Amino acid sequence: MNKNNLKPYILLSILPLVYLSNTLEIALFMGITFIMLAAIVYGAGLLIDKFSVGRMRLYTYILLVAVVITMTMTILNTYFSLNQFMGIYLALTIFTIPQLKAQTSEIQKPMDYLWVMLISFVALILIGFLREFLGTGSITLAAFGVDTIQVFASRFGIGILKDNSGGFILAGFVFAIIQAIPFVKEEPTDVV
Amino acid sequence: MLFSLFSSLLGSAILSNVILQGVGLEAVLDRQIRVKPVLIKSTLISVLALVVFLIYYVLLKFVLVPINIAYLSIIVLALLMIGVNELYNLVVNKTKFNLPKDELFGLHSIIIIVGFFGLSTQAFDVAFVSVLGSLIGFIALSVLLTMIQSRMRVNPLIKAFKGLPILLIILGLIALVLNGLGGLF
Repeated sequence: MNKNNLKPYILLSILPLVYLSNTLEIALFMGITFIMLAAIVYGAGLLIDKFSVGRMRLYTYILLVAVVITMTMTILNTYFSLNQFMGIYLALTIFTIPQLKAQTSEIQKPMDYLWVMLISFVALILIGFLREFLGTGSITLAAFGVDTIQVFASRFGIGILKDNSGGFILAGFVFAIIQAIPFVKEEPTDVV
Repeated sequence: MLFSLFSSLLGSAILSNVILQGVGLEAVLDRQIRVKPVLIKSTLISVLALVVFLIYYVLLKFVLVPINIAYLSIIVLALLMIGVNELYNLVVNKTKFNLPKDELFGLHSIIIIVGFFGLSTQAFDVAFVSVLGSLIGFIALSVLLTMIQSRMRVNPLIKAFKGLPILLIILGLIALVLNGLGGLF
């Protein structure tokens, strides 16, 4: 499939996570969890696609996602103190995979899935980084062993980026940049 | 009493609007520019979400929590969503009403998020008012965004901003305005 046509799926797959990603640390954490869960769902999806069709296929996907999210959140809650919304938002994100698959039969290659996951991850990290950096003037990665790096005083930061309103505006610009970048150079075609 | 109820309802609808929390945007991504179909669709989704919430709350409080299996709540919610989706498809096929025909109608993200309200330990009346307010806010903002989208179609716009990016920027600006009302509630 043409990689340029994957852009809507990239944007939709991380949309629910934009709200929570107000720091780089949270964005990294959710991005890594998203990639792992999406890989599991895609992998298991190959088996589901083989044995079920139609609505039942989608229901199987949803139950699989619910089981995977329940297991993951139980494991993660043991080691980290997580935002209570995180499980639900991850579920929302992962639920989009089977729905996107139901909408299109174009995405079939594993490389396409990998591409969607990677670009989604990069976009999420970028949003988290910009929200924290431009909002506070510093970057903190305490969970990854990095102390606070202060670049400029927090009073010069753009305060709204820490809120959901600023997050959406920033995400709009990041998504627009993604839409503007051609992943594959397309030959101009003459239309008469 | 009545004032606090009204305040909670408005607070849920305006201040903690579900769409402003990044949920339920698929309702306005259908490229629909007429308000009536969006109003019908979002109202029906809200009714389904309310049904799911009521069943889910009862199950959580009287079955899952007493026998210590509340960690299975997301699976129960997924099963409820599937059940409601099947019920909706059955009703659509059996009745003569002109309801939106979509095989995946009951699998909307709003239905998941209202289920979450049942997860918290708050009392039923508070949870119910929160859910009701959230659903009213969802319907109102869906209609508002559809009206804005219909106006955007006739305005010149940079190609890269068309679709989701400009919708998110507008959503951010709406959130900014509504955050200003925070002091009222």
